[in-house]
Amino acid sequence: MQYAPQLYSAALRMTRNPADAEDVVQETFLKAYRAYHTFEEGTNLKAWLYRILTNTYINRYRKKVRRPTEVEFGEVEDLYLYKRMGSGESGSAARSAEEEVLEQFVEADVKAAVEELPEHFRLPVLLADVEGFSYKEIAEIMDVPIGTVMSRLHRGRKALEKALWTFAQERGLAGEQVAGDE
Amino acid sequence: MSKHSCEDAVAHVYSYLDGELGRIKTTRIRRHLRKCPPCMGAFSFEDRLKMIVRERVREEPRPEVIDRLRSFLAENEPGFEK
Repeated sequence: MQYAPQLYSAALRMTRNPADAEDVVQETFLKAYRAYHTFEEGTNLKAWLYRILTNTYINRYRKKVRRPTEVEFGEVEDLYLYKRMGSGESGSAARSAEEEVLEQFVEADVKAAVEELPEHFRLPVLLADVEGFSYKEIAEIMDVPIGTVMSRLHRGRKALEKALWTFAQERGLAGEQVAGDE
Repeated sequence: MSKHSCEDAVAHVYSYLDGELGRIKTTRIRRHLRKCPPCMGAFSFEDRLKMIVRERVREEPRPEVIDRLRSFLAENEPGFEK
């Protein structure tokens, strides 16, 4: 039960719905108890639980919710948000103006931006950025090669930056000095 | 700062911040960042963004959620205790 709150939080971002998140976590723990004899002592219990969680979520919801899966987002450029948010004159102050703007994103913005990501981006972003797993652990949790994890995570983060930029504009957080908009 | 070393650094920003870059590349980029304030600013921004995602996305479940999980397991899994 140690990881229950964390698993619930991850399930919530996966399913985007509290009732579904609760179902997924209950099923995850039931499976974990029943399969516990297959868990190798001394290996990573947290990663093992997230693997069950991820599989449970995918089996239950991937078919049901028909979303565009492997749709290419198009390449989002490097440093997408940074380039749009400020002057680029930084590096001297303890915290730059761009970083100050970041602080103004409210929880709802960041959650919505994560939830908007297509699933093949959302899972690696959640597992890496929120849960703190390494690329190798994510590869094991999602059962995909490490190169795939890396590419999806990196593209997922850029897509997240693009979504956050939209919120920044809507909220008027972004400064006037906008570099090359689309 | 040579355009090439900035491009090289930016191309590896995520792997660098995730600590997933090999030792040689990490050293090369760290050395570049020390000499290049614009890249340092960008890296610092990306790092802060990662932290913001972590801080703002996690959500503690209400106590009832955990209580319901406990009763669900007690009902369905005879060996379940506590």
